[in-house]
Amino acid sequence: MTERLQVPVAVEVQNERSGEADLLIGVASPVSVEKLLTASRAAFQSLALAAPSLRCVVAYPRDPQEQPSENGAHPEERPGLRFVPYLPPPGQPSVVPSLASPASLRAIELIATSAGVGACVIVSPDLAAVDAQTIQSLTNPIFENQWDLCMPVYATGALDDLLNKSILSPLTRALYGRRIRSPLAADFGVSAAMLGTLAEGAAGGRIGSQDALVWPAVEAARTENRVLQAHLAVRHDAQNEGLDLSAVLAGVLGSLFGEMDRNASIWQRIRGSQAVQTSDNPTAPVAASDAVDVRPLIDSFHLGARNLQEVWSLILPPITLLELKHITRLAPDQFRIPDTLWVRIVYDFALAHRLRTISRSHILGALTPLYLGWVASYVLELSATSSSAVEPRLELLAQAYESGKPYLLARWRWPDRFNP
Amino acid sequence: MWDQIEQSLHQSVERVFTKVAMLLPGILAFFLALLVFLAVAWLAAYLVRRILVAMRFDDRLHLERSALIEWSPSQTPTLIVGRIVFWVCLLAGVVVGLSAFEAASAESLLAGYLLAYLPRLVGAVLILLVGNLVARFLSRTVLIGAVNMNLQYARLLSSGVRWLVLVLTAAMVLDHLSIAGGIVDLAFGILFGGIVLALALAVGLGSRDLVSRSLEREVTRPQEPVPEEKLHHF
Repeated sequence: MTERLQVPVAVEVQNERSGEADLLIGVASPVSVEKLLTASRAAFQSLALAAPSLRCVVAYPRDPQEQPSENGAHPEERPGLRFVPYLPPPGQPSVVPSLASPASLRAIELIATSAGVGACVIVSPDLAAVDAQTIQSLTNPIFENQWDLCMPVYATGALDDLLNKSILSPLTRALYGRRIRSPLAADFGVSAAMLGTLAEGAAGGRIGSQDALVWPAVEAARTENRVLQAHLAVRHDAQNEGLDLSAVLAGVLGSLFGEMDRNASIWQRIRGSQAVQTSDNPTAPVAASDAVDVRPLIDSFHLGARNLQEVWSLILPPITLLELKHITRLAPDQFRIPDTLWVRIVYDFALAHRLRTISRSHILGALTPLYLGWVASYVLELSATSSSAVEPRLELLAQAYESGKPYLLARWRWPDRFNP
Repeated sequence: MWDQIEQSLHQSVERVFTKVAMLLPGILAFFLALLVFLAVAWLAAYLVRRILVAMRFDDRLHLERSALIEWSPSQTPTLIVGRIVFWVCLLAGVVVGLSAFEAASAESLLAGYLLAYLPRLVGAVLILLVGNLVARFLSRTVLIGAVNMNLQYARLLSSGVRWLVLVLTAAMVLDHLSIAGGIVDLAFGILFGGIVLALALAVGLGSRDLVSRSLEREVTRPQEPVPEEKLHHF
């Protein structure tokens, strides 16, 4: 309730100047205001060439120390372009600062409702997506064909976005039956109605505590909204550098496993998966980088295997522990974690998270060495193939998640049943 | 002579039977009190659980990410509160039973001593339980954190933390029970002081060169550009 009282400061400003707008560009994380003004003006000028009557609102979190101007008008505004700062939600920032927090999304939704926009684009604070082409790619399907949500397909290299490739994308595909490439994207387009649903989910506690993440693709699957994907020529290379891997892994997977728990009655009914329509032409894939030394990754895995047996044995069944033991004996160049094993590991961790076998922070922390082992295995596997083999390889992994779903279902429904 | 022995034995046996007969009502009163309080404890725990479930106590705590959930992950908060209520009632039953035993047997020494000592005993058991829980939680936290930081001596660190907390707990328990308090204080002080001194000496003397070289390297190291990360996890 306190959260909802904080937000209307921005909306008061907005209400005083209430007027119709068509599009809202929302930034849900702290951002450089100067950079935002410059990028927004440039994007708006290009958009106005194609649609001269377009009216756009840019919502961004303001500095809490800064006082909003008396009349609410921003000095950098142009006809058809308005800037609406909102008071950022108090408390800890999101575990991945570039991702929208539920409280920020609620603030943006209030501004969008007040302005009466038809579509909204949530963009990452590095503002790489604030250009006319990207905004059009994310919003045109919503304006023209009444889609509810437009998720991005980024042009990534084989060694980029590994957490998404290894767990987030294939797991959400297996659970919710929609083949969405980036279910936790920093940029996405959303209709006003769907934005309301997302914000309602955040307010109603489905998305959980204040430091939880917003999963638009999961929410769309839950509410059966129409989802589209759009190829974007956008890269977010630098924004997440320097973050602690185990903390991010724990934060993101904790949130995803929490969603699994809340939506269990939905995903248990879904079998298989369906392709999601993708607009625009695929952008050129990023060239493969130089050879990566996987030795440190394998060492991390071995260190985990030596020291975390006690913790793993509380989460994983004996057969999985035995297979992991065999893997530790492999020579570095033969190091592989089979897809079926990896999938079972992820499912067992999700189950342990649900059952609270031990403290959840311990469960998620104990996954990091296993994840690094999977990364090492994936890199070694790809080093022996061409760059065109990446997509088929990821498709095989996604299929392994789907074919392993009965295992998850059985363990989810009967966790106490004997599982050797 | 033989008659005297026989008479003495008879008197002894009589005294034993008399004593037993005198104790029996007390024992009976003790078990009766225990049974009544067992029923009360069960009822109170059941009622508390029902009320907490009706209040959606678990959901509220989950939303606030309660530390209670982290410390005892396999139990729901409702169950934990229910169990606490049960054991408190049962403990009260033991105390009342002992009082009844004392009143019935007219022997105040044993029960009086036990009653006076019981709170300390309960406190010590609680300290022991909490200490064990904290030791296990902290050692696991340190172990996982150290492994994720790629520290080769992760297990050593974890064991060190566990034993440190356990030793501290043992000292607190003994102190609480007033068992050799002076010795425990002294031994604990010597042990902790010794550990800190040993670490200080190890760093100050054994690794002096290593530390100074490391510090010099940090000070004189030119600002090198950070190599570009080839793997991007997110």
